[in-house]
Amino acid sequence: MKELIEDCPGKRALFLGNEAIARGALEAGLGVAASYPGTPASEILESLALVASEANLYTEWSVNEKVAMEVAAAASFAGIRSLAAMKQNGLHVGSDFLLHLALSGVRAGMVLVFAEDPGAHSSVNEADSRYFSKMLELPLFELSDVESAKEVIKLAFEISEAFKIPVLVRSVTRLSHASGVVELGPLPKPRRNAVFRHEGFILDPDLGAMISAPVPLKRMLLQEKLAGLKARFEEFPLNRYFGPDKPETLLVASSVAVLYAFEAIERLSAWDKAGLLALTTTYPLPEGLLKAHLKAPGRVFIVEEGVSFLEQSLKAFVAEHHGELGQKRFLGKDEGTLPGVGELNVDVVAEALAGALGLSYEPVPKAYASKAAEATLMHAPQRELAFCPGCPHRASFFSVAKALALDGRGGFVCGDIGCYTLAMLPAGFQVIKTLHAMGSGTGLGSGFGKLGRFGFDQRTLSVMGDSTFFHTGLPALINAVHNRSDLLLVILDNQGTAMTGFQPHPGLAFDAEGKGAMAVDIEGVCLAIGAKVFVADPFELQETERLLLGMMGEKGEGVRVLILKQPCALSPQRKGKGAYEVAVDEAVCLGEACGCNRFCTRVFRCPALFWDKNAKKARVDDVLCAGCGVCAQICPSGAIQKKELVWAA
Amino acid sequence: MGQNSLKANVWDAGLCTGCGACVGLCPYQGFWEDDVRQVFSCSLSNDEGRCSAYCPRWNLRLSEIYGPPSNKGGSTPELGRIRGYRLARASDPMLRAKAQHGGTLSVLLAMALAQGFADVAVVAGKKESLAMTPALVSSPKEVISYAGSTLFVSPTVSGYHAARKAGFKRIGVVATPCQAQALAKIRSVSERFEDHPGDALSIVLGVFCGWTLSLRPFKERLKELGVGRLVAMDIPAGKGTLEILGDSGLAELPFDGFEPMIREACAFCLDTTAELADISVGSARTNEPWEEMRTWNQVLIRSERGEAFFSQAVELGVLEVREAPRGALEALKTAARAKKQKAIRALRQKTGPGPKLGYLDIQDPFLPKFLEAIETEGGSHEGAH
Ligand SMILES: Cc1cc2nc3c(=O)[nH]c(=O)nc-3n(C[C@H](O)[C@H](O)[C@H](O)COP(=O)(O)OP(=O)(O)OC[C@H]3O[C@@H](n4cnc5c(N)ncnc54)[C@H](O)[C@@H]3O)c2cc1C
Ligand code: SF4
Ligand code: SF4
Ligand code: SF4
Ligand code: SF4
Repeated sequence: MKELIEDCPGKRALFLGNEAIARGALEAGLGVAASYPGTPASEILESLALVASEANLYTEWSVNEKVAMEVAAAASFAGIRSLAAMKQNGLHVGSDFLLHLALSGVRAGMVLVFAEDPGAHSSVNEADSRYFSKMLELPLFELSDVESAKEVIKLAFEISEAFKIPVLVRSVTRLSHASGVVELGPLPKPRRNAVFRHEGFILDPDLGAMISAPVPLKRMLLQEKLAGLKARFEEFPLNRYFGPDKPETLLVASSVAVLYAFEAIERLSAWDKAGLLALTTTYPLPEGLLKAHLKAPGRVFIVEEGVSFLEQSLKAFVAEHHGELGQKRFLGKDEGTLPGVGELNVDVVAEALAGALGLSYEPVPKAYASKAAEATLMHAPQRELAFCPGCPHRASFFSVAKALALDGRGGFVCGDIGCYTLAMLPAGFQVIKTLHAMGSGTGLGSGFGKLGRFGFDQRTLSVMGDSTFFHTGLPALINAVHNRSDLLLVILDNQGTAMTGFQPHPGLAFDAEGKGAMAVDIEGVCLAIGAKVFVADPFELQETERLLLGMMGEKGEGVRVLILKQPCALSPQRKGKGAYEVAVDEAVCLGEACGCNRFCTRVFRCPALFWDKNAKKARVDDVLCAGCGVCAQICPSGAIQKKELVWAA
Repeated sequence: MGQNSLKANVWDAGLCTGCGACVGLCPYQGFWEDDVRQVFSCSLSNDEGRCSAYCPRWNLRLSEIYGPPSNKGGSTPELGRIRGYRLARASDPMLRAKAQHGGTLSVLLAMALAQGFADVAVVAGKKESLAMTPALVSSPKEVISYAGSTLFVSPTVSGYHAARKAGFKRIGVVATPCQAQALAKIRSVSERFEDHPGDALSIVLGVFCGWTLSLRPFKERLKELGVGRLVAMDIPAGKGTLEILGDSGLAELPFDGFEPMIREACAFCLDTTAELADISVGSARTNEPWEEMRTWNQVLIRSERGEAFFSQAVELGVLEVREAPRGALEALKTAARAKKQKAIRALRQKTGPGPKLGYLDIQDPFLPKFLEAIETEGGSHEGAH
């Protein structure tokens, strides 16, 4: 990504939303960036890490989002502009630190970008985390398009530094992962000299200690900053109005919903009736601007991704200024004009707006829509989410499923966040029965493991990945060890943060910038805290099953850890280098007969195995097969045969 | 569906004996400790599936495994066919010392292998964890290392499948009554399957069985007792106790404490003496002193093959025999009938009113006769031991 650090003002470049964010930070003179990988935020740090040495940055994948915020804050305290980036969950993980950072304040500009996932495309939640801004009394910007995103980030840095307050910036999948043309600005080459001043009076923002106490005084200072910000936002260039002077209906939108609302008015040719107030600063709200636009319209339609955050704020605002603004009718999520769940898009907004305006809108001609639905049903193969061919998780969960079934005490798996989350589906034999936040599988397992005194005899098995281990898994594990919980923890060590694109984590010997780093040994850590530890290769099914069954344990057995080590099938180590050539011997394949009943394609379900309906035999798709050789171990008849391949070093 | 029938009507209904007939046929079920478990679910029907076809606790047609009821050929409702009844024991006292009782079973088994009655024998092997796993033995010398009874379930019939898979054509099996029933059922359905799974069965040596214990609670009890690793266990005749010999001591405990550990499925068992074996062997629970009798076995010779086989063992001098004391066979009958009657009562209670009776196939035209024969004669003496 050469253009990211091209100092060529005026040039137009095509950037991914997350790259535009990164460019904005670079144009603002960024020095330090820290993040924890998570879709849709990962590319922000990834792109910065790529240019770290050229742009004289320090970038890191932190152990978790809270630490990322702390690393960024330290830079700011020492006078270096910094950025912390994360997915929505991360803001929740780090909120404790942020609560105190709001009070201590910052020095050099510090921006915290959280990229949310409306519609939960790659999350197990649909968090709208904007309320943190109100809760913590921190300014919030919402990015609406790739083009302006870069500018907003630059402004965020300026405002953060001017008000000595961290600024929250919200992105969403449709912005972070969309591309747009961005006009490059100048790239400063700041001379940096990091010093942390702490010798001054405690309330001195530039020379005092960075501490949240004395709390009442610090809160007073924070509220003064907010008042100042309110005034500043009146002039904020990226709060924009489109439409007639006195519309009957005013749409107020933020985030990518700005584009949807604009397009909806456009498609309905309703610019005579409707205006659009596009807000970037959704907390604190620019009151003068609102008053100016809210006077005329009788109806206010709030279009936003997530919960009714802006809607609630506007309602409160109008109620407060009732005398001046008069009676309004509000449309939005609260009374159901827009759906309360899932992601918005132009059609959803246009249909809702058409209804409100008494117009008609048909996103797709009905005849076409039904034909398309029919064609999809007929011709698209039914596929559900699955582990990749050669994925170590399929092998691991195969053994886990077997061991739990054989043990027969109603055992189950407390799941965690990673590719392996799919084990709640048939892809992973549906063994995962609880799924919450990062590290929660082990916390829950620790709790289940203490219910023995109430007659609980179900075996509890927690799983987590190597990255999750460091993120928040370790405290939960220590909790289980210390409290002698009956927990069996399986660490699915695929040697990288695979789900989000192989970012390194503390277990690996290289860092975000590809330089050498200290590798923290998971096995050693587990041993040091006093757990019983075993290590196995999940591709060795018999050995893994034997270990698991032996480790199921009895009441009062304490914490046992099994580390299943095998790199991800898509990892650079394994990609394109199968260990075996695999084929089905047709003469031996039992197929649908008793004794097999298509075990490989019906139960084991590696996507590289398929059922040849005509021949009534299983086959291996050579193009998809990753050559792990595991299917040869599960075939009951020995029909799947593997031949070892030798690769030059 | 094949497996679903087992799951709903056998496993989940507490009827599974753990005989192992459904195990090792496919990857869908497995055996762990002393239970069969569904590991993955299979969608084949009863017509296609072997597991339900082989299972002695699903649609068992008594007339098909026994043949239609008759009074000819020494068939008794309590003990099945009887061609001969003897007390026997191994002539070699060293062998007796290692065996559960008289060592008759081990001797017969070793002879079966040595004389070519079988190419391989399936016996109950013990694991470190106390759980049992079938072992295949092909040398007569090895037989003695499997002597002794462990009163838990062994999935022995899965060892028969394994031996077939390994290519053996003449397989001998040491089987408890439920295992012998399973083997008989496999024989009776053999024609349905292309590979005739019953054809490889050459001889079945039966062990008498009153019940088996559940492994998990027993293991917990064993830990409390502090006798160390289990070496042997037995029920001495007439004492109402259980003897447990561990490597750090012997404990003799009232059986009452173990009664709740009896496997649920055993309450529904109709057979004490392995009626479907060629020869059945049990302890000699006669009116003579146990210390003497514990080195003898009661033997029921059932089939022609069994008779020839037994005579050969006596001729070769490896077995010594004596006549059973008067009244011994009657006492055995009484005990066996009591078990059957109890089982039928338990099945009636489980299935409730209506024609259905547990795992027995009510389409079996001879079922009423079987039931009548068992239920009309004799009182309700309890306890097989
Ligand atoms: C579970 C069980 C319950 C029994 N209940 C009674 C009873 O109520 N009344 C009675 O008279 N006799 C009973 N017996 C039989 C008795 O314990 C002896 O097995 C029998 O008397 C033969 O003695 P032996 O010295 O000839 O055996 P051995 O020469 O010692 O040979 C014993 C054989 O039994 C096999 N065996 C051991 N444990 C098992 C098992 N759990 N399942 C299948 N095979 C096994 C071994 O592989 C070995 O081949 C029972 C046996 C078992 C296994
Ligand atoms: S598991 Fe083996 S026998 Fe069964 S369908 Fe697949 S290749 Fe054929
Ligand atoms: S070897 Fe088998 S299990 Fe592995 S990727 Fe190929 S088909 Fe799938
Ligand atoms: S029907 Fe056949 S394949 Fe299916 S569970 Fe039963 S034995 Fe296995
Ligand atoms: S009784 Fe035997 S065949 Fe039937 S389910 Fe149990 S172990 Fe399987």
